[in-house]
Formats: sequence, structure tokens, C-alpha cells
Amino acid sequence: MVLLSVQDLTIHYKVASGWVRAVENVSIDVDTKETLGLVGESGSGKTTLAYAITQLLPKNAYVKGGKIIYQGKDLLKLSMKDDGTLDIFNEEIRKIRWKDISMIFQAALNAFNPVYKVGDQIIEAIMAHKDIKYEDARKEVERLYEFVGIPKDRIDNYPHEYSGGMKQRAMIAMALALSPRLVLADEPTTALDVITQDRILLEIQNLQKETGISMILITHDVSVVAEVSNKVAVMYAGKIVEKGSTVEVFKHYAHPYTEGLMASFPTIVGEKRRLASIPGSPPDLVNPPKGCRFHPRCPYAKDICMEQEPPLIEISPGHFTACHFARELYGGK
Amino acid sequence: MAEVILKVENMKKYYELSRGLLSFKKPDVVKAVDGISFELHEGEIIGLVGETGCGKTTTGRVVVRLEMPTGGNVMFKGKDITKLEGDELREFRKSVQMIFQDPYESLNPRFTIFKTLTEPLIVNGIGETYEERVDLAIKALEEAGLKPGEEYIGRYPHELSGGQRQRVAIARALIINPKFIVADEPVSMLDVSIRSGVLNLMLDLKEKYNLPIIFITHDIAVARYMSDRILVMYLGKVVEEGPTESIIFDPLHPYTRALLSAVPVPDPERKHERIPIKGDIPSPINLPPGCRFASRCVYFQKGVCDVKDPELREIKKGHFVACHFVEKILSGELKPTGEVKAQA
Repeated sequence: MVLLSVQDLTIHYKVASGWVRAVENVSIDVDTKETLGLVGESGSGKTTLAYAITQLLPKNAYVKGGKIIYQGKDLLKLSMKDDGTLDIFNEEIRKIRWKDISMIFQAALNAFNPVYKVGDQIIEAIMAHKDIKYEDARKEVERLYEFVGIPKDRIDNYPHEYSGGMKQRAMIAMALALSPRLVLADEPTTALDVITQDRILLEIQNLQKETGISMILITHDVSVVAEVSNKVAVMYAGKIVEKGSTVEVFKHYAHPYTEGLMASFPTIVGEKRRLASIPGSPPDLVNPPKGCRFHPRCPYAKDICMEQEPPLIEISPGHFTACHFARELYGGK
Repeated sequence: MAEVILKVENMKKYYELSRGLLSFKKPDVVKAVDGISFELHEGEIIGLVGETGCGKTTTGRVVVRLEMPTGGNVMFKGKDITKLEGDELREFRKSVQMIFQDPYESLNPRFTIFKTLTEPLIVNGIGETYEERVDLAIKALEEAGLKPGEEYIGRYPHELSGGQRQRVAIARALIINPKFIVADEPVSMLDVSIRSGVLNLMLDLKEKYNLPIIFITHDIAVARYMSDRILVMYLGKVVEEGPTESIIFDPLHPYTRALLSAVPVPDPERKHERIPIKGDIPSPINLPPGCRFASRCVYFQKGVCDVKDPELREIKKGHFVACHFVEKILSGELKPTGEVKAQA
């Protein structure tokens, strides 16, 4: 069952030099009990997409089109002002945000207020949304701490007394505090050491098994996606270039960018082979290239790529790719 | 055997934490590096791997003499670098270069690329005339993959992307023909598609000039790609050292095994088997005696591991491990104990 459906979403930022086309015509679906991995480099629009879903976009962001349908309701209709900016204080959105859709932020290390106890910050979040007594909220936090694996006696510690991994766990506890249906995790393990990262990812997987929540995992690391998500969407320069089930996309990628991404990742399994690199760098999104946005860096680019934007086509059931030569690339490498 | 460029013997670096003006207690000591030894040979890349706080960066800073060690020797071509002064020190500074993690911070934003590259030439008295220095700068840029060099030379760092900046940092390191390079997490700030280009560049330069590199990273997959040998560090000590493929496919120390089993792999169909490890890295202040890994080791043996610090021993050819019980662990005689968390 589809829990969240983003349809044709376009978001631009207004800057001094014009409009940054950060997200263009992006569509994704997240089913219940599913993890969608959103992969891309910095500036690919993955974080903008997440902030659009939670409606926490900065003031210079304008929605230029599309829908964000959560349980049948278009969230954009609720909060969008006439000029396309979002009203982040909209009452209905505030009811949904955190209670239904919560977020694990990238900079968990700084996401807590340093002058309040960590436990109190989570208690406050619970009490803001639920009609509940302090003692009961505290019990709730104790339960959450146990769940994410932090000792209970740490509830009354301040953020600086926590290690990086513990802060990230506390952040997860906070995201889960109101039993949301959907959690957006923005690079939840990027700043952590390997062993801590592995534990957090394991925690996330266990959590999903136990609670059945849905998740969007935003990361630049294809290995992390392979580890935890069952669906994946690859973003490049504000567009989705490929999406499908993780196994299908990893085994039969049909977009040159995905191919380049996979080939440029070193791994500790299998033969050591020379890494490929993608020449050039991502485009300036104020003036994105005409045609396919990847064509200046693409080894397969032909004339058509400079002229026409490739549509997202279904190359095999549930597997979509936006490349003029997807059929040639699919399967045969 | 290739010539030894750098020989580190029992090197230590301790930091005392200040305790305030009126405290009469002995200050707390952080043993950032506590007695490590290794050799760097001509044409070799050593990967220094470990988690935050294991002492890998401190090691890198000491061997280029950005910091003085608390004890032990660091020999460069037979001379102890800690005793160098005057001209000899200047000569040493010319032989070694460092590449830092963050290309946004390590280049002076008010210097053009030309100034960034020619500053080390002027300081070290290389290149007689202005024209000669321009030529050297262009050559270094092109060597680092920024072609044509003329196009980049007049620019400022803010006009370049992260990958290009890191290439400038590499050009700056190469321009004075160093004898070895210390690269501290040189690609961890770069985007994936850019990263592999910089790694390949460093590998090619090592091939071309037979240039030894100490490559410091927390990313084991990157260390595997780059290094001939890997040293795994944990809280200031080397716990395992050996040829790269031997470490990756046949890790022996309980820490290395847990570390490698935690590395995510880009294969969605892999069954992830984890090797257990207890708790988190303890505080490095005033560590207890014995093996530093004892508090997290599932094979911990009371009376031995908490008493005696294990020495590095050669278990296989060129593959050293610092663990009292490595043979018994490998043979299965010693079983893991303690809480082992459920798997996903």
C-alpha cells in the first residue's frame, strides 16, 4: 500500500544569480513497511526533497509544481502560499510533522540543544503533541532508550556527555517518540565510525521489523543503501535518473550515472579492480545543461542527449531509467 | 628489498590535559600514540587505518615533524628527525609533504593557485627565475590532472570544485619533489564520483615516481584500494599489520575482524555476518594496563589480557598481530563470551 506519493515535484530556490533548479519533476512512492534509499551526490536535490516532504524548506524555496500525497491528502495544498513558498507554521502540517512523518537529521551531533538535558528534549517533543503527563512521557522515553540501546541513566545527561553514536541513537529515539508512520533519515550514519554505523543500521533494520514503519534513507553511500533499503532512487542534478528495487538496480543498472557511481566505489569484497571515475563535476543548477543533465559527463553521450531530455521509462517491471540508450545499457555491460 | 625511507621505532606521543592553575594533582595524560613501529619503503603505500581517536592522524603529524614525539625514534634516511636543526631541518622539510583532508581549508583563499604553488618553491629556493617557477607550477598542475595548467594558474580556490582543489593540494605537495608524502583522509570530503579520480591520480603518481605515501583513512575499502600494506590502529597502538589482501581476507585480531565485518558492501544480496564487539571506544584518558582492546573483546581472558600488553607477533609471513590468544581464537579453542546482540 502506498503511504506517501510524491508526484512530479519541482522545487526551485531563489538566489541572486537566478533560480536554482534543485528538484525537477521528481516522483517517488513509499509503501508501508518499506525503506526507500535515495542516493546522490551533494547538490543532487535529495535533501531538498526530504525537507519538502517534512515541509521544512528554507524561505527562498518555491514549489513550482507537483503533489506530495500522504494518506490521500496533498500536503502541499494544506500549506502552500500563493507565491509557491510553504507555510512552515501551518497548523495541520504541524500536526502531521513529527507525529506522522519525522526526521533523523544529518548533523545529529548538533541537532540537540546543548543547554537542555537530552531526555527532557525528547519529553518536550512528546508533550507538545500528546496530552500526556510528564511522568508518563518520561516512561515513554525510558522505553525508547531501551529500544535504541542507550542506558536509562543517561536520560538526565546533557548532549556533550554523549558520544557521537549515542547522540545519533538519541536522535533516532526522538524521531520515533510519537510512533510515526514514516521516518526520513538524512545521512544518519555519515559522521560515525564504521562499527557505530553498522550498529545504527542494524538498529534501523530491527526497528522496522518490529514497528513496521516506512523509511526514506538519504545517503551518498551506495553500500549503505544495499545494506538496508529494498527500493532505491538515484538522483542526479535535481532529477531521478533511475529507480527500482535495490536488487534490480544494483544488478541491472541501465543509466550511465548509476554505472559510474557503482564503478567508482571501492569495496572489501572480490577482486581488486581499478576504479572508474566520472569526469567533470556536477552542473550548476542555475543553468543546467540542455537535454540530459548528465550528458557533459556521460561516456555514451550522442547528439540526441544534448537536445532532448530523456523521459523516465520502465525498462523492466518496476525499474525506471531516464536515458535515451537505456535499452542498450540494460543487462549488457 | 626496497630502500627504507622512514623508520619509526617505538614512537610515542602523549598529551597532558591541563588541570587548571591551582590543581596540584598530576595532570591526566592522553596517550594518543603509544609505542608504534613501522618502516616505509621506497615506492610503497602504507594504509593507516582506524576509528576516530586511534592516533592515526597524530602519527602522520609526528613523522613529518609537525609535532615532536614524547618518546621513540623517527629515522629518515638514517637520521633522527627529532634531532634535526637549522639547515638539516630545512632539508628535511623539503623532503616531505602533507595532503590534508579538507581542500576548502587547506588552501589560502586569498592566494591564486600560482601563488599557492610557487610559495613552497620560493621558501625552499627552487627555481631561479620567475619564468622557471611558472613552468614548474604549470607542470605540477598538469601532473595533477588539471590540464591545461595555464587555465588554472590565475584562479582562486573559490573558483574551483572540491576535487580540483584537492588536485591543487596534490600539485603543491609534488612541486618540490618530496621523498615521501603523508596524506590524511585526502578524499573523505569529496563526492563519490570525484573521489576515485583523485585516488587513481595518487596511485599513478606513486607508480611514476616510486613515491612512498603514508595514507591515513578511516575507510577500509579505500585503504584496500590504495595500500600495499595496512596498519590497523586502536587507541594509540598498532593491533595488526600485514600485506593488504592478507588483512582484508584473513584478518586475525578480534578488533580487525569486527571492524571488517562492520563495513557495508554494495551488494544487496549479501548475507551480512557480523563479528561481535562490545561497547564503545573507551575514553583514552588514563587507560588501564593490559591490552587496550580488553574492555571490548569477546575473547577477554582475566589475568592475562588485563595485565599484560600484547606485543606484535608474526603469525603469517609479514602479517603481525598483537593479541595473546590469536592462535586459540583462530583454532576455535576460545569461544566468544558475553552479550552478543541479535542480528537483523
